[in-house]
Amino acid sequence: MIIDIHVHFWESFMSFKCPSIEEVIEGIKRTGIDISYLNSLSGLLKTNPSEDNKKIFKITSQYPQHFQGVAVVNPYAGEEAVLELEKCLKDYKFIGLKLHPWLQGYYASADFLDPILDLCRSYDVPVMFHTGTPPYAQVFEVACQAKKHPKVRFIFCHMGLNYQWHDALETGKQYKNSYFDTSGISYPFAVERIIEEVGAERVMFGTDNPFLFPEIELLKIEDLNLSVSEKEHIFYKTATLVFKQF
Amino acid sequence: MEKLDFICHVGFDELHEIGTTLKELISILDKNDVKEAVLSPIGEGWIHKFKEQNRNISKISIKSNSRFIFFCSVNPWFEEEALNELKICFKELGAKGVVFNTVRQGLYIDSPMIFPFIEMAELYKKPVYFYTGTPIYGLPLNLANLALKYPKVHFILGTMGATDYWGDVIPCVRMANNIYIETSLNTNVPAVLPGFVKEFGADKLLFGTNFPYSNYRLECEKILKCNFSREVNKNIFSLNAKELISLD
Ligand SMILES: [Zn+2]
Repeated sequence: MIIDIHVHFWESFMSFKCPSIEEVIEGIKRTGIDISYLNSLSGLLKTNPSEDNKKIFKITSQYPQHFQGVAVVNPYAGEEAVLELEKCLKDYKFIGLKLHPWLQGYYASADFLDPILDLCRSYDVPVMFHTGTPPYAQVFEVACQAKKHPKVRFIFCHMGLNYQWHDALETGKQYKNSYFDTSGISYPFAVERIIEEVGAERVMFGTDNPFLFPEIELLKIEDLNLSVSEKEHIFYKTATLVFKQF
Repeated sequence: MEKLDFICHVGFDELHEIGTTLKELISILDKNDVKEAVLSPIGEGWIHKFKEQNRNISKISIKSNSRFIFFCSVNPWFEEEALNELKICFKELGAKGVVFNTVRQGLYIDSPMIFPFIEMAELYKKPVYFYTGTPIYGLPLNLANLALKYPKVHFILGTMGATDYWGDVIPCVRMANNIYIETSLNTNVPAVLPGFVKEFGADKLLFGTNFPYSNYRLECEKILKCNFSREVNKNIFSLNAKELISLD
């Protein structure tokens, strides 16, 4: 069983064309992934991502065997963002929220995220943050939120990438509500180290498919020196618990 | 397919707590059909132990029957001493190029401090590799700015701007066409390589691993996943590097 918690779909994103959803599914099947948690990359860049979330809802409704939805909102929209998130969680039954401080342009530690994070706590869903791209998406900025919102589960996507993996390691040790996905980071030794010191029950497999190659992201984990039980956690057990998908 | 790895290391990097031995490196090269590899300093070798590591790698290269191609490192903060070392590396120790890790050294890629070193590389017709992708001291567009000042020097944009400066890779080559791209450590391959090949062809791409920071399987597979023609792959995996390194 493999759950991929970090998958995107978009109609247009800068000049990058997204493969059709059928092609994305082909990639998923080729890689041997069972369930993908899908969010809208284009929605991250909209003042109002309502249509983008709706598109994700359509896809998850059409292909429930492959996808679960993850919401995106624009925190600058204030109350509107909270309403959009509530619609996603309540009506669309999305299972989490994705924030991207780099692409969306705010400090990940910003106080204006409070109402959004509070809503995630009410619905008991985790929040995924892109991390590892200064100045806006630093690991320790997200750690500030993890400290401020101890009842919210924070997923540090990419484990801080190659230059902030050490911050991710420190954060993992300090905050029990911090979790990590394996996508994007290209230092296999750092992924192994975080699994070893923070624990596989805090780490989840992610690919950033189709923005990155899912097969390569899978190879990266398969090549690590891990026990069977650690792999089980990374490939599905941790995600099942963090996203409450049991 | 036969490969030339454009950058790998022996030794240990205290900062990332990762390293390898020569024995391990050779066995991995053999397993992955890597016939030649550019070997260059690591960790403190970029900073204050460059002389020691340069001499060690020079020896390894000679002993390896040129399977290992020696690229030296020097730290511009050491001024005359470093410049002299660079000259010795080119003239006497057989260095085929030079690597700067300006993030670890603490200067801008296009800092005037570095100009005398580039002039030396120009004099000896050697390519210059820069680690890129870490703000503020390793930005790709600063490399483009430097490359514009030295149009006869071949510059290598190492690690393709890893991680999140992948978006600057194509603009860099648009700015300065004396820039080559080395592919290690960057996972944003679908967003960069197909578009790059479409715009510039495949002559400027160099396969590299930066082992022990990454591993051979990942670095090879990610290029193969692009489904380029066999000819393009041959260029990326070895031919471009061979041509670049034997320019003198
Ligand atoms: Zn992503």
